[in-house]
Amino acid sequence: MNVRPRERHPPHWQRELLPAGGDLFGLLCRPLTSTSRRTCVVLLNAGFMPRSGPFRLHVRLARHLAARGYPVFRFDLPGIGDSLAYADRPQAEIVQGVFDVLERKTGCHRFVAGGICSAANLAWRLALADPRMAGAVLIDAVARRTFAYRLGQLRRARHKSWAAWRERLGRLLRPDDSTVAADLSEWPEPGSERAQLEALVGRGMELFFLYTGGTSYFLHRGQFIGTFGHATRAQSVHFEHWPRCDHLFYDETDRDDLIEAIGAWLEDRLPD
Amino acid sequence: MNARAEPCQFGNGRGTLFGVFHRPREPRAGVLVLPPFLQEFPLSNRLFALVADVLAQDGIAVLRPHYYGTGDSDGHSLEFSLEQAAIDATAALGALRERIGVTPVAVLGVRAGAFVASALAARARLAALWLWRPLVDGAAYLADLHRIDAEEQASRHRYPEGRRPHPPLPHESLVGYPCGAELISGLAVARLDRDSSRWPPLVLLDRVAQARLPAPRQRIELTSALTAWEGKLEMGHVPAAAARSVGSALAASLAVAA
Repeated sequence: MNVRPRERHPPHWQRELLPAGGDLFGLLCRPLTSTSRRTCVVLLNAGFMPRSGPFRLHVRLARHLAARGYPVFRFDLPGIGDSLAYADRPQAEIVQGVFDVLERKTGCHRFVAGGICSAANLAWRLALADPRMAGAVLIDAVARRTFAYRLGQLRRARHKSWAAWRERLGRLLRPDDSTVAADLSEWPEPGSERAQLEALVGRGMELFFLYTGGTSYFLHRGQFIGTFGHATRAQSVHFEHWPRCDHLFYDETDRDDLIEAIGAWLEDRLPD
Repeated sequence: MNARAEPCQFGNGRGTLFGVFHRPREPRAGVLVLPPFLQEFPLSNRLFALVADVLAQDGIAVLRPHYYGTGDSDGHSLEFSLEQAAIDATAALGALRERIGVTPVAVLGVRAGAFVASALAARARLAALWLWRPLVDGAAYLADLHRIDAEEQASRHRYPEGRRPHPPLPHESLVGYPCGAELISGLAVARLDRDSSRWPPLVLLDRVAQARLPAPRQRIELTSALTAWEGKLEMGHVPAAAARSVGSALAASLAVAA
């Protein structure tokens, strides 16, 4: 932790505007060197946040990964940011169409997709649906309210001061919550995620799971195995829990650490 | 009338700026949208994409640039400043005029973007200056940013288990964004009405009248739904119908000015 990934000067990446099918467009950040890797990374919208990501996280992540040799594509899904038209088909199908464009453009046939929250949920569905997915970055993805969750509730209650209880009460009365509640409509059927993870691990998928302290549904690291079962012990499953980091990586140092963690994971698990 | 939103890039002498160009089939006028700063930029992006789409449907070309060091443009966040934004606005105006030829152009400054828009309007030949909930006093804005930032860092809601202690950064950080010393010092002395005598006709989009600004030629009243994103950090609902209605009002306003 606390390794500060720098945007190198002069930049070791170049940026290109790329039509991505229909009205969609995005930015492809590519390594300047000729040793581009064969895995392309696609960063998906975190909720309704535009493609630049919260606090410009996706811009910095794209530049950093491109400097490490990975082409990275960022775009707005239909109905988000600059994509004015709304989706006429499932989001996973739309991203698969984007993969087609990127295959032609970059020559990469393997993809890593992901992001925060709804992006993680979409990446999970993509991983199940598309054999070109070689990896997924799943930040604040699905988690179930297991026994460990109750332990986490107790721990959080211990941390709360009177002021925090007052703040909590105020937010209950004024519900514009920034602590993220689960969007259950995007989650797999309860119980299905175990078999799904086993299938993905069996296929050789590389998975980067990170849970922050900013959700209302992941309160204890024990929830991870409780949710996904024993396949979480596979070498291809990377798990981190950052309970003192918020959901959107407000702190620059948390963003630096995330960027470095994803870059190191990619180089370790998908070096080609 | 059909319109398309397409990405574009152009230089500012330092690097490449990104923008979205809303292209009508036959442009009768143009609008340059200068967005708000820091966290308000991504939060309002969708709203102004919708407003721009309505304008383009009405034959008004719109360019929505990202300042250097912000959004999808080149540069690090620390390189964003008022001075840099002024250079970017001039480059963006040139890029817009290159695309639409000789037609009247208005500039829309949103919130802190009003500092940049009003300075541009004072030195360029523009048909109108549109100010959307403009910030008038840079020092007050800076104080607000410091207040929001302190609240967020201490928030048990954002950090239910406390915030991880971090080593001090070599620069200031406000509302989640690294901020260069030039941005801070520029905002501390920024005043919106400095060159108001040289402004083109003013259209004010606000919820109330602004006593500290020259009398506008027209005032367009904004609903609370259209301003709900101000000062926030999380994305909320974008009121599409209200955005389209204010876009139509602006299109009509430019028709009168032209």
